[in-house]
Amino acid sequence: MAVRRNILTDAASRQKFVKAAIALKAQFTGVTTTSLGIAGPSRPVSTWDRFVAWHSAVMGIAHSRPIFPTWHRLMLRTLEQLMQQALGDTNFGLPYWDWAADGQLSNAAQLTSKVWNDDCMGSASSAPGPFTLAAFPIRLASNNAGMLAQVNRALQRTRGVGVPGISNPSLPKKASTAAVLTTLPYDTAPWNRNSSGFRNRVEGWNPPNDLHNLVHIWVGGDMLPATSPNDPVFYLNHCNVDRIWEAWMVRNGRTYLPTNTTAGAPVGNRLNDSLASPFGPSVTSAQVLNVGSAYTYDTLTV
Amino acid sequence: MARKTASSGKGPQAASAPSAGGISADASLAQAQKTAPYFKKLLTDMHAHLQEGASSAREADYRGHHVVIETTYKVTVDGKPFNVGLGVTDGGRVFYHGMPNVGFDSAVDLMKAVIDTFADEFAGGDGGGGHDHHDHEDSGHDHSRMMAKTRKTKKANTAIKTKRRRR
Repeated sequence: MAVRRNILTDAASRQKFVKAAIALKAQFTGVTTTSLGIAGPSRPVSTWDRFVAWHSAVMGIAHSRPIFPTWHRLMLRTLEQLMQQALGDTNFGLPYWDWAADGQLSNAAQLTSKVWNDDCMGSASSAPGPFTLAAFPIRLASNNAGMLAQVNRALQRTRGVGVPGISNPSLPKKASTAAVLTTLPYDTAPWNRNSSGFRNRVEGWNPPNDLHNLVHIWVGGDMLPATSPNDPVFYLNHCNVDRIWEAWMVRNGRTYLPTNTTAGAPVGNRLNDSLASPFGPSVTSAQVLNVGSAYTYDTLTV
Repeated sequence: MARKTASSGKGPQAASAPSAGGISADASLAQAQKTAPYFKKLLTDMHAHLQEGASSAREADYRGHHVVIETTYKVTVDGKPFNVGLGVTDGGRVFYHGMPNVGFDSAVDLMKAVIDTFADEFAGGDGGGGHDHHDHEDSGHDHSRMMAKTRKTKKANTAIKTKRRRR
């Protein structure tokens, strides 16, 4: 069974994650841009890039909604299994980045955290570390209208710069991860960015621009648009979000709202609604509340 | 941590017994083809949604009164319409689906971030942003909007009009 470990302290997880990311970037199984409905000439789409397209397609469904944690759990577990296949290692677990630990550092020190070493995610603003243009070209990216477009360029980041109005932000703090563990219930009406509850807090809307969302903002570049799974850091971020959610459920129970009988609940976001995957059978949010037989974390201290 | 086995998948597309955790992964073309129509529709629907002008309605109950605040943004860049819907949260943060993880202090900040992030699509400003347009493949971009700036020396000029109606 896979054990998900801290990428800063587990060299094997770090090396295997980078190796598997590059392998899936180069894995083509016959899927094309045309078959995915992406405009432009028909070109092969790698397994890695299919996750980019998948995430972009569900942007309005799986974000700022109750299924934000459950849908991303499906996405991460799917990638983890494909990485296991690529590595020939059924025990490989996705590593997580405990960004709140780095958030306790000064802003300057956050930029030199070991996660940005060149044998990990790399520090360059373009083609960082192992993710060179040759090994890891960006092929699909959102344009300003949110539409998927074909491109051919290097991975981009603007670490620590922020965006207008949120200049030079810090990574999230441990105080925020501690607070989200005690936030109840799981979610509340109106089931969106205006909700109170755990889901909207861990996503980073309440308070605004915190936790998950703040990591996207802090990394910047390709982590800002809906095609953010272009950046391997996306998975390190979401693996930590999944770890925080697991810690929340251990503390507060494996509960989810809304149920299928909750009045006014959005269809597609209820407990027993299907979460579709292009890589396998659908599952429901109810089915992914407990994945303890598939993987565990080395620690749930967040 | 509890280690109870998750139940098996039984969604409408269930075709085989999923692995532990209820989730299985098959990167084959055959598997992709099973769900291709569904995902093409998702992309089509999302693109259509993004092109719609968005209107946000904030509601509150206060001292027995029900307040509704509707907000619609009409944005132009260099005189050309930016036809992507912006929304606003109850707390007043402005967002849009093109950068789905950010709640901006204002629509002005949001548009500055759009120009920074998609610099190549706003060529001709003085910010030095934008990569060589040759980086783009023939990808079906809407160049009429992306290349909204025609005069090469003028800084991108963003006009944002906000209508608020209270009833």
